[in-house]
Parts: sequence; structure tokens; C-alpha cells
Amino acid sequence: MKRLLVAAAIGAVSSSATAQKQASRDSRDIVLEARRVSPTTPLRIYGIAGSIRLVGWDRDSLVIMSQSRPRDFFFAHDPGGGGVKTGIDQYRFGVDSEHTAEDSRPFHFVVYLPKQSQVTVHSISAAIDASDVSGNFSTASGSILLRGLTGTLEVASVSGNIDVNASASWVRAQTGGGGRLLVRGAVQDVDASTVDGELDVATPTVMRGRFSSVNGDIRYASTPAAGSIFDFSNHSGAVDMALPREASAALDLSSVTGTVENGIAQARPAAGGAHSMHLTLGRGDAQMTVRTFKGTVRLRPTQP
Amino acid sequence: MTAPRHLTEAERHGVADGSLAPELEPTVAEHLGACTACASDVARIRTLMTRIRETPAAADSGGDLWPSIRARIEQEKVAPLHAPMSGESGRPPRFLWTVAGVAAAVVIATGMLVRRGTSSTTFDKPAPADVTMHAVAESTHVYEEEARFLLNQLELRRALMRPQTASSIDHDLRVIDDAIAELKRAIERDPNNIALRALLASSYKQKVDLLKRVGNAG
Repeated sequence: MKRLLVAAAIGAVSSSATAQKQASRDSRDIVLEARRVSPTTPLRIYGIAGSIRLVGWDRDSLVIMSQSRPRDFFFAHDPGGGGVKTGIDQYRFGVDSEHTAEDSRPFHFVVYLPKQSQVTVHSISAAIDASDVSGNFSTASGSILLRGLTGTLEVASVSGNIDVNASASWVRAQTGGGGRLLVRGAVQDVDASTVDGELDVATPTVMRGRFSSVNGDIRYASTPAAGSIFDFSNHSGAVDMALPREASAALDLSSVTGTVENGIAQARPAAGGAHSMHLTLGRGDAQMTVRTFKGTVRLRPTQP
Repeated sequence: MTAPRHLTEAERHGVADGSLAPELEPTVAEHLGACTACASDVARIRTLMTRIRETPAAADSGGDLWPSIRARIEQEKVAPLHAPMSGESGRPPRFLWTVAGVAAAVVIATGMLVRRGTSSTTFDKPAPADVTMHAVAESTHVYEEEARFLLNQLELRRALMRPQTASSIDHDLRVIDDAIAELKRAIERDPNNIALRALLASSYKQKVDLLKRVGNAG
């Protein structure tokens, strides 16, 4: 009966049918829902354990697939925004499993949705993998991988790893526990932090960057853009700055009780000592400030 | 097409604290009458809320804090703040977010000032800058109050968390609190060190961010 209903829904929405056909071409997943939606329809996803893959595509349709239909799967359309009246239709789906989620069964969802959609994902332990999708992604213990062309990204994990490898105008990414955070791709305005985990920055596109940790090492390895402003802060973790010879930046490096090491031979500090250093590379087009309490601050040339 | 389901987390909390949208009330009431699982969960949330309200906490009512916070902002402001609109009092979360925004601006401004300060002097002995010092201390204070408020909310959510999530959050809180304690001791020894105060403000910001993350992950 459920299959008949799903088939009826697909038949009623011709564009969704085409979309679903493409989506399932290389997959044995079943279609849980297929709807025609407007290009900017918000989608909210809740309570998934397992994995969820979100794919933004150039179609005005939403297709949700999985290898099986979870017993507590729900899909709802909230005209006008549902409980919070925003005047904008939105959809939400998920698995309304046990409240404690202690024994949540893992399910693996694949969701195709319009590229302009704003997504909100609140998962329990699901690994989230999203391509060409913007929005808010959070998980308790799962990992998060964001790729492709996006708008703004808000990413948070309690203890999982985060990898932002997307083109985005604004990114806020935070993880705790020993979760690692990697920022790459083509991001412009970034606020990223970890607690114990390592934080790596490997992109030359950042114009405003704020990177912080408590115990995790922070590594920056790229060429800072002209006019960019960076702020790195750490408590006891190290901050490692690997810059190419042609980098143009004014650097203020300091540590309250840790040491500051300059490994770039041609860079002569204008001021400083064992705990602080001010120096300029090239014309000093970018501003980079590094502060730690007791972590070592290292400046070194990029490895050839 | 929609499968029968239990009440969502938001609906259960809405019923428990009375903030459920009126148009949803009949449906939700009908479900609660038929579903013992949801009904008992709503009762549990109500019990938790009662317990939290009975727990003495300095940040219980954000309204008590606002006059002193506002007074301090008034001392530093460039343009006068508008008078509070009627009905805005008694909404601690909203005003705290606003205060947090102000604090974020202060931290950014402080970062710039500290950078300028270290460019002409050494980090160990920063130039005297009363305004900067005041701004950093202010942002630290605001973050501290917000963290206290969010900690109360964390206790409300704790019962709904998976043990490993709660354990991870407790670990992170300990790590950040240790860092804060270390920075406070250093500031006691060197109270005029702006960099130390900026690091302290940054640590409090991390604590606030962590507690906000908990809300999403719960």
C-alpha cells in the first residue's frame, strides 16, 4: 500500500518523477518522498542516526531516498512555516525515534533538493555529507563534510570531525571533544573553533578569519589574500603558520608564556622577543594576529 | 502521506512550558490523551522545569541583570540606546542575544586595538589603554553572565541527552573552565595585561558557543 501511495505521489508530480528517475539511476534505494517544491523552500531534517547525504541539483523538486523505510519516518509540509509563521512554506522530515536516541537504528538517507534551498539538519549521530547545499548542520557525534557551491554555512558538532571544502561567503564551524576541523575550498568570512582537536586552514580565499582552540593545534598553510584580516587565538595548543615566500602580510605573533619562533630567514622582526614578534612580509597586505597563552607560535616557510 | 507520529521535541516542550501555538493545541491535546509515552514525557519535562526554577541561580532572571549591564554600556556608548519597549522585559533569551551581539562587536574592536598595541610595543608590556581594558573586561563580564544562563538551560536538557554526548560536553566544559581559571590567575598577577584579558574573553566566548551547540545537538 505504501508503495502504491509513493507511486501515486510520484505520478502526480511529473517533474519529480523525472528527477527521481535520475536520482535512482545508480542506486537500489527506494523513494520515500518525491515532491515538487519551489527553488528556495526550506527543509528541516531531524533525528537521523546513520548517515545523510544531501545533494543540491538544478531541479525544482525534492526526493528523499533510503534503502528501507524507517518505522518512525515522518515527512511533513508546513504551509506558511508551521508553528512559527514565516509565511514561507517549508518541509521537514526525519525519524522520530526514541527520545534518548540510545538505541536509534542507523538509516542512510540520500536527499536531492534544489540548490538554493536552505537546509537545517539536527542529527543525533549521523554522518552528514552535503554538496551544493547551504544552511545549518549540526550533529552530536557524527562527522560533517560540506562541499560544492554554497551560500552560508553554520556547522556544529559536539565531538565529530568537520571538513568544510566548499565555496561559501560565510562559514561558522565549531566542534568539541577531540573533533578535528578542516577549512578549505573557497570560503571568505570564517569563524572556526575547536576544543581539543586540531584546526587546519588551507585556503587562500579567506578575507576575514577568526580561528580559535583551547588545547588543539591550529595550522595555517596558504597564501593570505591582500586586504584580509586574520585572528588566531589558542590557550595551550600551538599555532603553526606556514607561508610562501611571496606572501605579503603584517604579522603580530605573541604568547604569554610560550615561545614565538620565526623560521622565515628573510623576515626580520621589527619588534619583539621570546614571547612576541612583529614582522612584515612583502608589502604587508594582509593582517595576521596570533595570540596564545602557553602554546608555541611558529612561523615557517611553506614546504616546497 | 504523513505517517502517524509522536509529538515532536518542540511540541512536547511547547506543551510543558505553555508556549505552544494556539492552533496546534487541539491536535496536541488529542494526541496526549491517547499517547501515554508523550504524556509521560511532557510530565517529565514539566517536573524538570519546576526543579530548575526552584534551583537558586544568579542568572535566573535576566531582567535583574539588565540595569547594571545597561549602565555599563551607557558609559561607553557613542549613540544613546533607545528606551526599552514595553513588553520586552521578562524575555531573557532575546535580550541576552542582543547583549551577546554587543559583546561580539566589543571583542572584534578589542582585537583590532590589541593588534595596534602590539605593533608598536612588545606583547609582554602592552601600552596603557584604559578604554581597551574596560571594553575587554566588559565583554568578559557579558559572556560570563550569558554562560551562566546557558548552563541553567543545559541542566534542563541534560535528561534528554545521550550519556556520551553529555560526557563529551562535560569534558569540554572542564577543559575551557581550566583555561579560564588559569587565565584568571595570570590576570591576578598582571591585571593590566590586555592580551590576557582578550584571551579570557575568547575563552568565555568558546564556552558560550559550546553551550549554544548543546541546544542544537540535544
